[in-house]
Amino acid sequence: MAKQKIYPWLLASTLTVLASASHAEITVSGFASAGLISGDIKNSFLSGSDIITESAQFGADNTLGVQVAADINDRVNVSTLLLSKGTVDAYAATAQWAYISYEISEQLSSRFGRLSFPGTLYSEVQEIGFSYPWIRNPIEVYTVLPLATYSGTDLIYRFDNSENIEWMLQGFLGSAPGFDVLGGNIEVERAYGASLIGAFESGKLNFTVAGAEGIDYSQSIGSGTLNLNVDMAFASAGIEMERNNVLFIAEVIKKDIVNNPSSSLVSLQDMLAYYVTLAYRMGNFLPHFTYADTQSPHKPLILAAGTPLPGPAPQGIPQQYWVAQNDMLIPGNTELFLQKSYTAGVRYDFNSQTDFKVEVQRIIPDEGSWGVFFSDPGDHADLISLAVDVVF
Amino acid sequence: MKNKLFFRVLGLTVSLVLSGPTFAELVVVVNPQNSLQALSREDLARMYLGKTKNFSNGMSISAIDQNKDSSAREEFYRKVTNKTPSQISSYWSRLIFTGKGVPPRAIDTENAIKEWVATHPDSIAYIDATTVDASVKVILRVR
Repeated sequence: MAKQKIYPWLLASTLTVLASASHAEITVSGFASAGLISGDIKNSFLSGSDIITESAQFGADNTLGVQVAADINDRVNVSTLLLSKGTVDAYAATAQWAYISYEISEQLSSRFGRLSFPGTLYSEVQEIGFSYPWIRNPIEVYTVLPLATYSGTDLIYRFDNSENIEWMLQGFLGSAPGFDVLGGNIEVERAYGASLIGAFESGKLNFTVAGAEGIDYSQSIGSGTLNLNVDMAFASAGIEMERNNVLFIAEVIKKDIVNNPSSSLVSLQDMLAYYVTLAYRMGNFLPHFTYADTQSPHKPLILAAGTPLPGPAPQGIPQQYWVAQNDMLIPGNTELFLQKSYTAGVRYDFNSQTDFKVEVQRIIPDEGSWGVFFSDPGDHADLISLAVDVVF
Repeated sequence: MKNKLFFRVLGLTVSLVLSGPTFAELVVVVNPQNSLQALSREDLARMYLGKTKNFSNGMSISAIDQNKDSSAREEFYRKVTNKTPSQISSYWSRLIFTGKGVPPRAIDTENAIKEWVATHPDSIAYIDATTVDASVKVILRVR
């Protein structure tokens, strides 16, 4: 799930609106993370919406985001976030989101433009390391999400049904124009869903049901093209709660795939993923431990070296040479990752805007699976990560 | 004799250092034109976490915060919301960067805060109790 480059027209129009609204109150905020990852990283692996390679070990977690927001009047706000990441095209800046929000009433508001895809407790703030305890969101759940951003609209309704919980119902509808990912191009014809979010004094709840239709992935191989076209439905539930210095976070997500007839490949990426985090706050220190797991009725499809590749050989390549050069995941099933992981870490808050994190993680692929890795990592992979997060 | 005096001074110094900074009492103030007379800690927390947009008298709320490095700010949020400054920053970052909330306006000095409250009927702020004067009205003492 790569990001699109800046749309010059979108940025220009946003800045034009900002410049013309001379009475608008403009605020600039931002966040940044810098980190390194070491250990068993000779095999590239998926992490959320990124692919972390061995060459990116000193930049995999580097992020810089700058948000410019302007209150045009009491009801209208314009906001855009420019994001630069170490895992994307050598820090090429992308428009992570750019939208206009309109407050219809005190309880009802709507946003139009490019928005972060909701769906889990932290899906809309995945890039903001300061907002959660880990260096990276638990891979098992956060790599299941089909999109990081979408172009469309949402409607947010806030209500209270008790004095202790404020509820927010968020419905969303949109699409994702084509963008490059995993060596191919992907576009989503339609994405939609609803999230129910409850905020109470000691925490937060999140329930989401969503679907995506016409997820079209195509990858050129020689003069031929491999194509995958699926529909996806997913549901998630999550809770974050902190009492008496004990922090508890748990999320579960289930994804179901329907292969469309036009697809030349078959996807078997139906999955259930969950994690549980337990942490204890000791002053500015927050040690934490996370267990995560994925399950699926399917087994990963790995082509052994020398196995014929799916589909006819591209023009100019004799069929007998259209074989896997190395052991490889069948295209279209790279996101069927079956594994467990154990993560232990500590977050230290220097002050109200800066934190330091250190984590050790053991990823154990299920038998017959490579987990999130693109090549065989063996029985397990150990990772050590350091990071600093800042908000401003 | 000299050694006894030395150790007494040393003990006093150590106790003063270990006791940490001492804070004057904080009070919550509003514009004198605001009809609100009192406020609960829970309602105050909701205001400063952006969960309430209006006073009980219907007037919209403009909450004023102190500088992020202010010890008074740290004490205020600890006593009112039971959250550390980094927890508050994390809370607001999740709202700011999703466009779902705007944090209170921060003003650097208490004199500037008082002046703002005195000239903005919809504002609410917290200041050192010793700086209170007739330009603002106290509605809660933070304990």
